[in-house]
Amino acid sequence: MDFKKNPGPAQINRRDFLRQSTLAGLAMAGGLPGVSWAVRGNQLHISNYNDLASLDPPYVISGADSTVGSALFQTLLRFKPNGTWDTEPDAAEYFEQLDDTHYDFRLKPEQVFSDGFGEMTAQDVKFSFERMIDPAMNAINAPDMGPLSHVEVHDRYSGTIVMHSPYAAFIPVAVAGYSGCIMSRKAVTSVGGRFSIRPPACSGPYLLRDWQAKRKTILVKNPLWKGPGASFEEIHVYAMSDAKAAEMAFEAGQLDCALISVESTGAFEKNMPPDSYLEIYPSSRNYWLGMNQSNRALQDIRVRQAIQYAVDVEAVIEAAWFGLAETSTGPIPKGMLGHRDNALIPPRGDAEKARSLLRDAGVELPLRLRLDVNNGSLELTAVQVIQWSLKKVGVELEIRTQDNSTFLSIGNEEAGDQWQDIQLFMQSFVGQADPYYSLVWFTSQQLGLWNWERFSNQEFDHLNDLAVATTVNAERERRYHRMQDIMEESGCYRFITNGVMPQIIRRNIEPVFSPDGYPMLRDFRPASRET
Amino acid sequence: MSVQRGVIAEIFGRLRKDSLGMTGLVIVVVILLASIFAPVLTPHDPLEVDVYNRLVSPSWQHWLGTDQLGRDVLSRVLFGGRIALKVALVAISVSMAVGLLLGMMAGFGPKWLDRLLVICFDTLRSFPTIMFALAIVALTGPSLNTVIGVIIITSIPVYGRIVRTQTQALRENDFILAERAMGASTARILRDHILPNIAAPLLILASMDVPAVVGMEAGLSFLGLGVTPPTPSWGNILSDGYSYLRNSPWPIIAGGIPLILVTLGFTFFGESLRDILDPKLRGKDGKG
Amino acid sequence: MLQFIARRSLLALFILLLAVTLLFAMIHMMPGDPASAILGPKASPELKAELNQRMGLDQPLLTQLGRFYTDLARGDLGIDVFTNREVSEIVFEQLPYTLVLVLAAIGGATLLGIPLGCFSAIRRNSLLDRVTAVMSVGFIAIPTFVIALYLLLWLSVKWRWFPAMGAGASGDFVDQARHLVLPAIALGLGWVGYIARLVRASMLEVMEENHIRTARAFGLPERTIIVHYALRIAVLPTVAILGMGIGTMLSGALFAEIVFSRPGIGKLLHEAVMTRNYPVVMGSVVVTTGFFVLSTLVSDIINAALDPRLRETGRSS
Repeated sequence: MDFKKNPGPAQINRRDFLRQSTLAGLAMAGGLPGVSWAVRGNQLHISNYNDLASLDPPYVISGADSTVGSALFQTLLRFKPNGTWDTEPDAAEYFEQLDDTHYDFRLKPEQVFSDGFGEMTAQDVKFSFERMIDPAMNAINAPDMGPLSHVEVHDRYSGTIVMHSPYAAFIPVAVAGYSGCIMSRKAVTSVGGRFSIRPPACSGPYLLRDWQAKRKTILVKNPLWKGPGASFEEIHVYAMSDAKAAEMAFEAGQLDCALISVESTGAFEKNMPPDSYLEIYPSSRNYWLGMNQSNRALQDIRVRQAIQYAVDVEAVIEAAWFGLAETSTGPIPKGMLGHRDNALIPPRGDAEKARSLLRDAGVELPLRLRLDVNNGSLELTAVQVIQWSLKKVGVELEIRTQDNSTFLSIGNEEAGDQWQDIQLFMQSFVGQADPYYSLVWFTSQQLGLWNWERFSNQEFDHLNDLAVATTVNAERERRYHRMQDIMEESGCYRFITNGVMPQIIRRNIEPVFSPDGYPMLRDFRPASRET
Repeated sequence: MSVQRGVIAEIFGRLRKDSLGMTGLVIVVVILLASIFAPVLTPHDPLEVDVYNRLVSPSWQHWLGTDQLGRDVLSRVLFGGRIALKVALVAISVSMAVGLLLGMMAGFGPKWLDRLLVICFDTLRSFPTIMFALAIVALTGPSLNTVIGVIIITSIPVYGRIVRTQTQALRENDFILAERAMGASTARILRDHILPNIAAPLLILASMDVPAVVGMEAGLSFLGLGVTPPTPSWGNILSDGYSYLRNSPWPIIAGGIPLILVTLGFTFFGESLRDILDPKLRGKDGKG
Repeated sequence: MLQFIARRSLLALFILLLAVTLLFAMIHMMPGDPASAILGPKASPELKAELNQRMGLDQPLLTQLGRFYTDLARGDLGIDVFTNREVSEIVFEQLPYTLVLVLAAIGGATLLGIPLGCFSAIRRNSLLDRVTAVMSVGFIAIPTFVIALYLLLWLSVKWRWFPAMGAGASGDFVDQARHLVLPAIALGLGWVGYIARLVRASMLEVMEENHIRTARAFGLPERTIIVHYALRIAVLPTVAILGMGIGTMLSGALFAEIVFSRPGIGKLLHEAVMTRNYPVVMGSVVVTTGFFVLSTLVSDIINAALDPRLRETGRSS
């Protein structure tokens, strides 16, 4: 279930809490008349793991929303459809970083907004970027823009983006990310400055024709689109938060592409539906076991380290992810700048070491602790394995399950005093295209917000500031490695996995996915007839 | 009281002739024994995780296979019986006791009290039970005690009503009127005369209620609102099984059997009991 | 009779009001303020203030209660803070699915149960009669979700006779009927035996009655007697029971909807509970309680119409 909003002062950073729940959900696996393949040739039917909540960039926090929205809007640069984080021009024909705080751009001419709102100009870029940081907008995603100052417009198509200070994550997160979508100033102003689901005007390859709440969204090819991609006449996006519903719909022939649950991969491999195949994509969601070091029971670092060593991460992955995912070495996933090849603590842990640490710390066994977790079946399976591993070293864990909304606030100071009580918790979130976004949540600034571990390390904070201010990759890499080491050394974190995104795909389409496993609808196309 | 012993012997005698009732009794006894002696009977620790043996089919090592964490399903089922037993025992005895008290008050007391209690009963009974349970759990959060509490609240009106009806019927009995004329206290009348006559219908009701209570606990645990992991309950064995349905059908098969057995067993037994104790069917030697 | 109807209806309305008040009270009895309860952890001070003002939560309790009733009378069940839609709209969108399911279950159970009971009465102590007896006693108590799970396992996942989830393509009647079969069986299976037994019992009673004997004496064929006289009368108590059955079935329907991933009010409620979406929880419970009370009322009226003795006390138990 996507967490819709964590409002508060505009400085609160947001997180992308995407979930793949396999039990709960308002799936309505139906609504599609039995259509033959021939007619379907020009339509793409795909499931989305949640219904749309909002498509307006200042407020979008869910990947389900940005998956659809990315087909409707353009950004100055976009990620290449090749499974990497490399960028290529989209709306801009020219984009250059002049110096630490200035970026020049020039738009391609004759890019037209729908509904008669005219050609895209530099004024639209200015409007789109500046509204993100406009205090009146109260944009959840304002922090994506970093220290953006303003956008200068030189002429009809060109301008310069000016920052207050250097911000290395600007291009991956703001320019190429969903927050950098270019809106039509005239259109958005005409509807009052913001919209929720139905955009007033789009310039991208598809248009939103219909949105049926909790059922599906229908996109149609934008007749004014002149660029590459947009190979389907229509795209039907089905809101299916229950992965099982998506699986059934795929088997029934209603979907061409669906995200399935990890536990079903085995069943699908045994019984593959006709003309389909299974592809397991990496995910940049990051799962870890966090420990609140300010809680009395966990203040001794040896206790925390004992817990780190007690957890057998491989067993957790075997049980909850069916052995399909890889162990993670930190919030920065493989393929991203700053990824560590190895964690400091071995994946299988070390039960003997855990026991001796507890002895050194002099705690009375059994040590009783509480663990809070989201009530998804994946998380529950994972924490029960953790519970068992801890039991073997003398720690008795009480598991407290919460619904998603409640869980997301347990470490939040504004929600009450419960942040003091929490001890262990299993957390997860999805990063963005830049490592800054993977680690910023663990800084001292985030105490009382998302830093539930109450982890506060000066060197860490300092490195974080340095790493985002430089664009020299080697330097950033070094710093991010060190930062993740510090996290592990503090004893507050035991990194588990980045998970996987198993997709089941019909052979009559050629899909394209982002490096973190999300469909890039714009680039999907029917399979060529060569085979 | 020797009268009671004689009655019990007679009941048992009659029961022997009713094959369905006997079957029910046997099932009930087996389940009770299995649950009570579960720690001795289980081959494995129901909590023991063995991830590399997940979702295996039944084998000599694991008679009912393993669940998604490699835990032995048979052991979990046996221990699940203890939860079911505990819930049934606590919920039924408390709601019966409270229902008894309130029902007698309603049946024997002043008219206004009767009206008030009946309205309370009817209000509580106007909720579809599981919906009410969900509403309460939404507010208080899931836990086994919440489940027991909800079951108690929704069961009290049922017992209360029966007791009330019986009390009202008996109240006009000549014998009772005579006692009152002689100045016997209400408490004494209730205890010595009304209570014994209510005992039979109450016991029958309780016996028929066990399946419903066990079913409710299982249902709520199935929805994730009952016991917390890793404690096994028939309901959450089924819900785990449901999540992993396509990987192995055994947790579902295994989790459903005890529920069906409990339901059939107690229902057959209760029905038999009712047939035996029901005055209409008592025959010529009716003791009234 | 009319007096009875009026009295019972008034009583039913009163009970419903009390039930609804209880629900209202629950949300206010919780620790913390109602706005936090309603908004959940998403509540920022600004949102809370806005909600307080919009829903009048900062006003005295009695005023709130009054507003609650007037809103309810107008059919306003509040706003769902997650999607910003009216709760009544959401609830009534899902309700038809549940009703269709319950009706299908009752329909199926009656269609099977009445003939079964009839035959059992005619051929007493035959094998059929005895099997029905066992079924009637046991099956009704087996939890719906257990039956549903077994049906799902065998008939859907293993043998693929029926679809495993959803309600079927909208507009496609056959497809929707196929999706209805398993959930309806899960809901109605217990009732088949129960109805059969009821019909059997009342038929046996009726067949001994005078006017039946007379008809027989006049030489009317047994078949005509059964169909034209006995059955008609025997069926009526069944109808009355079904009124109450609808209420119990609402609870069972919740499980059927979840196991088979069918849309419906049960699924809506469960989802709302899991996400602490209080307005939708309350709205769903209010509506289903209303239905339950209504069906009980109708069943009581029918019962009283059949058995005049009941008009004094109102209910037989």
